[in-house]
Amino acid sequence: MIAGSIRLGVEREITSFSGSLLEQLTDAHGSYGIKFVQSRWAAHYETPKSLKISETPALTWGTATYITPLAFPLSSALYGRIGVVTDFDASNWKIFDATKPRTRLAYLRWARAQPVYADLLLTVHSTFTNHLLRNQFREEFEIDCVLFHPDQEADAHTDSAQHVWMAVTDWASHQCIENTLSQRLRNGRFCVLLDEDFALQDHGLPIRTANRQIEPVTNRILNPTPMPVSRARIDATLPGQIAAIYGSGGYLHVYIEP
Amino acid sequence: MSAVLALAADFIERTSNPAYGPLVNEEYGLRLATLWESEGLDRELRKEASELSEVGTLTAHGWVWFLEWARAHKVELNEKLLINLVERWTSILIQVRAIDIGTQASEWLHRDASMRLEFFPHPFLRRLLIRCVNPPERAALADDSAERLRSETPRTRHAESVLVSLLQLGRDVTLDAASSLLRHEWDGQRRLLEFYGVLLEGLDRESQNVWIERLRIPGYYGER
Repeated sequence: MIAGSIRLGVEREITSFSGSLLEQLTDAHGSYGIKFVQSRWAAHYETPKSLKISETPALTWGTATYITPLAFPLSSALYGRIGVVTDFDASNWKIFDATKPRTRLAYLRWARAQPVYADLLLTVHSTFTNHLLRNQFREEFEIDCVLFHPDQEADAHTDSAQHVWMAVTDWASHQCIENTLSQRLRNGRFCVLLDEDFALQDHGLPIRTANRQIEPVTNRILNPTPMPVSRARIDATLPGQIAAIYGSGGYLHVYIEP
Repeated sequence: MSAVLALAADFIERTSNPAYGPLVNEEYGLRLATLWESEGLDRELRKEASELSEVGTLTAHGWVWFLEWARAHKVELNEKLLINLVERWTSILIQVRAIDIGTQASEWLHRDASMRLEFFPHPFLRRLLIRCVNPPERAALADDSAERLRSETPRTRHAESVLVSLLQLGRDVTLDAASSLLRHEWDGQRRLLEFYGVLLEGLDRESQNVWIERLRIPGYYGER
């Protein structure tokens, strides 16, 4: 039950892949996406596997697999140290490009006309209600991919004004979103190891810009000593080297050699 | 109680409850999905799902996850469980998903906005609607005259949220059920119609007309 003009307003903003911003990005950098995950999944993604569809209610565009086009390779680094890269075929996708203000407005108009809109504003269930609306919207208009600017940033890695993230829909059946493993993004493989950590939350609330926790400190310390971890494990002089660093300043960077 | 669900309950909670934060949600989501595939939990849970009846098996977040999974995979659930879920939580998401699952298998050929609630042809929706206009807490109060005197105001909160859920689903069967609920004569009808009027007022004129035309509620239909 929705006004024809509201429906038309949304439909006008849904485009095919051809001519979309996603096509421009993939033309320039290939049809690949990257998602950062926590270290324990490094072994899992040593060989190609499906990416997990994210399904907690507190997601920007609802139940979807969130990836970043390879044009912005480190943009989502705040979510983990392991960058998992997958290929995808978007040639038949319907795209909702929410990086455009007019496109976002079409969604807002649709949302305002929903029976649950008051619940969104007047109850404690707004997270749930938003989740319902985002999923229902994508199902109703059969949107395969939403493009949007990041709403969380990793300091010096993410540019929320320029970068584009993707929420990719997998369909369980007609107009019904899948919530287990992605079949559209099923060749995820460990490709990037990032030497940095970020705090995602501040006192339990999602952080807007997550600061780098390591690099700013190492930048301030002079005389770093790099050492491959394979050597550090067996180097009998290591205790002495660390003691010397303790005495003179600097730091030892034990790294995994390629 | 499903043995599989009991085993998976903690994983499901950590996957679906935003209070754990996105890293924990993602971590457990991936672990759960991996277990799901490798251990055949999916098959087992499908088998046990129709027997589920205890709403205490999962938390509200857990039920959101479970209902989304059941809906996506066309898993049929026990009507009693679905009605209990609708009545237990005021979250519109749980209500919408439970009603969605309760009506997903039905082919609706009756489209008629004036059906009486007691004779509504869809058995699950008929039971749900009857309980809306005769909420359990009100029935329990019936013999307590002192309590009844203190509470002369009809209890329409549950009917209001079910009405919103039916409208939000927007299928012919749920819209006809919404229409029957609004037309039903009971002591809460006036308040429920007022609530509907406020919902209508919040819409743009074009959407108002779509609702009025579709639901044909006396007092609204034909006035504009």
